[in-house]
Amino acid sequence: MDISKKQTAILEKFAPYIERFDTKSRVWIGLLLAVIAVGLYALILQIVEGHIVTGMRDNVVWGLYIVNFIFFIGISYGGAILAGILHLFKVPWRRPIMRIAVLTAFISALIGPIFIILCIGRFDRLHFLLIHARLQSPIFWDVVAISTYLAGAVLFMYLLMIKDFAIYRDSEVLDLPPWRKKLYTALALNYQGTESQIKQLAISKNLIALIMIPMVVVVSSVLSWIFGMTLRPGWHSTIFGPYFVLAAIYSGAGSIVILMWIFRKAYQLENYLTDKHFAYMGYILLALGAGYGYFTFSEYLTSWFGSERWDEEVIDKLFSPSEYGWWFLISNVFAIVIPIVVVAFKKLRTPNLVTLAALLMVFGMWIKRYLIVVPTLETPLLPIQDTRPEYIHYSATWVEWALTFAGFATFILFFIIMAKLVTIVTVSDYAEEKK
Amino acid sequence: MSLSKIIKWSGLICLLCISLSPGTLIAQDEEGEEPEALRTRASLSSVQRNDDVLDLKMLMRAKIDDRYTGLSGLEVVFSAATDSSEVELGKATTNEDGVATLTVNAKDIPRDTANRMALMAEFDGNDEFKGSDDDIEILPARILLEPIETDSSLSLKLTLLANDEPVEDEDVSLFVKRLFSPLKVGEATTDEEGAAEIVFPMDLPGDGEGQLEIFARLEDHSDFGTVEVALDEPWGKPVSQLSQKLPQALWSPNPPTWMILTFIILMAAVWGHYAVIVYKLIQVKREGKVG
Repeated sequence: MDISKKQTAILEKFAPYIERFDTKSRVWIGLLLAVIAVGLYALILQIVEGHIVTGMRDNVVWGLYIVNFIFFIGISYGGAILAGILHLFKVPWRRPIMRIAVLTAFISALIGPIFIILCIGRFDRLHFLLIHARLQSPIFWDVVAISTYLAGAVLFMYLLMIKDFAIYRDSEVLDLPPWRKKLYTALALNYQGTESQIKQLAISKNLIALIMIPMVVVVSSVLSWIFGMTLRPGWHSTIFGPYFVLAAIYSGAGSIVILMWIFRKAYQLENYLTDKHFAYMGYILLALGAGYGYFTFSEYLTSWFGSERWDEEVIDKLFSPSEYGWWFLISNVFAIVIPIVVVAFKKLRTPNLVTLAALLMVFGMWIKRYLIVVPTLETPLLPIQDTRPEYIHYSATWVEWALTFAGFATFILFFIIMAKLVTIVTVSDYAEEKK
Repeated sequence: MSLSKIIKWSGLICLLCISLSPGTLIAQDEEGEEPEALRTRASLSSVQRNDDVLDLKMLMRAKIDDRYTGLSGLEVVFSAATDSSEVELGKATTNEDGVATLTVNAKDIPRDTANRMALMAEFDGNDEFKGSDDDIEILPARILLEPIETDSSLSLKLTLLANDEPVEDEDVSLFVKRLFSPLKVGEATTDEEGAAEIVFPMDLPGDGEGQLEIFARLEDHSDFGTVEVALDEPWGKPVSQLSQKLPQALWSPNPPTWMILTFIILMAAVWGHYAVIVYKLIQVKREGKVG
């Protein structure tokens, strides 16, 4: 396969990063593995002792695990839909972002469901979800939706990498060990860049991008319906479907910005991930942030105005400084106010500040997921007889925190590994533009 | 009037004005001890039911912000009196509406020679509220309720008896228990035999088996208090919450058809796309081999 000069230049730029693990990478991997090891110890403890080692009890049956699940799945959906839209509409500035977006979609989709498994008390009954499946159950919809989506995310990522695999296979610039050459040869599917192959691949990429967009809307809504279909205050809301879709895209876009900044710094990619890319992503954050703010206001206004007893109890908890008031405020300031303010002013629209806004926003969105799950569960419709404080109020234990950090460490570790296997910028895209 | 008198009277008027001014009154209040306990108003009533069940109800109220408000949490002592003595029947605490209810057996209550019951209820008072009491005298009375069912109509015959003697010319009402207030379905005046007949509507919704809780009532009579009798009859139309079909419920054996169709269409659309893409990838691989 022919490799252009531009592509060769990109390969030369990335060669040191993908040919071998440098000391910095090794240190990072070591640290991340240590965090994961602590998580594994916590997991063993949880399996041996049972869920009593977590903060989850009779009332609050969901905690950090579900929060992390929604968070990672949301990021994944966001990455996928943004990649789909950027590809389908041939957005000119998409090239250095596409790889990060699809990797975000793929890796988050792997991490998210792990937290569901951590939340299940009886691993041995996991297969009951399938053999005793009820089509009427939103939980079953979610199992099907996430499995289907994960298959799509893998396919999407792979399709966008085939040409690059062929380039890695045929490149003389890269000094790769034989096993990696073999791996790229197998993954490149004999791609030689013939007219017919270009056409088939282009159709495939368009098809997957086309299906990913509505699919993300559906699967994200399905995730929201696990809550929305439940007659609980703070959950049973028609706005939850679109709210979750928008929140997913928003947090996904924020995560992509953070990863862009990290790779720009780590790989000195200022010529590829330019200030303009951050400004464009900032505009996306601005639009999504405004939409998210509107949905948030609409959700709580409706709930508050209705003054239904149970809704009022949840609202009181969210606005009371002695309960979740401060976290609610921080979540809204971080996820709505700061991104809008930073992007609205040209002087503030720098890569560093846009990334800082994105970082705060993603953190704010994580808190928001916590505020969706926990305060509602702490507001039971029926009183329970045994009212020990820990049965009513949730407080995450070190086991849950250890597994949470292990999840984030795994996400970063997978990114480091993927960034060693493929270039973080899609090499083949640059040749196409030249033609 | 001499100057000295003018000064003296002016001084007196000024002193009076100052002492009666709101500021002075407030200051006195602030300096004063505990606020005075509020006066209460007690109101005792009774409901005579089937099988000699007697409910004694004491409503405790006080004027707060210019409105009479029910007082909750007050302990009320109920007693019955004879000519020579007083017997305590029991104690009850007022609910959130300010009503304390004590249910007793009417047979246990002492009576005078005319078979009259003298009943009293008293609240002793506390730091916040002054004590108050009330008393009533009632004669034992009851209503007999007889359902009459024909092919085309339903009715109820009521007989009002006091001291087992018919009571004439009294208005008795018929109700059906509903979720909130009882529904009045008829009213009649008793004849010389103490009897009255009320036609019952045939289209009232009942429970899952069509049961209705019907009761007849003589309201707030000066001699008998309230007299009430209840009866369950299957005269309603069966309405069951559970009889509704809920195909979306997890316990339903089959999901609704639209759900199955939507699921199949969505899955077919997505996995169909995947299948086409995989087929295209196979073609890419094959063409590469040929090339």
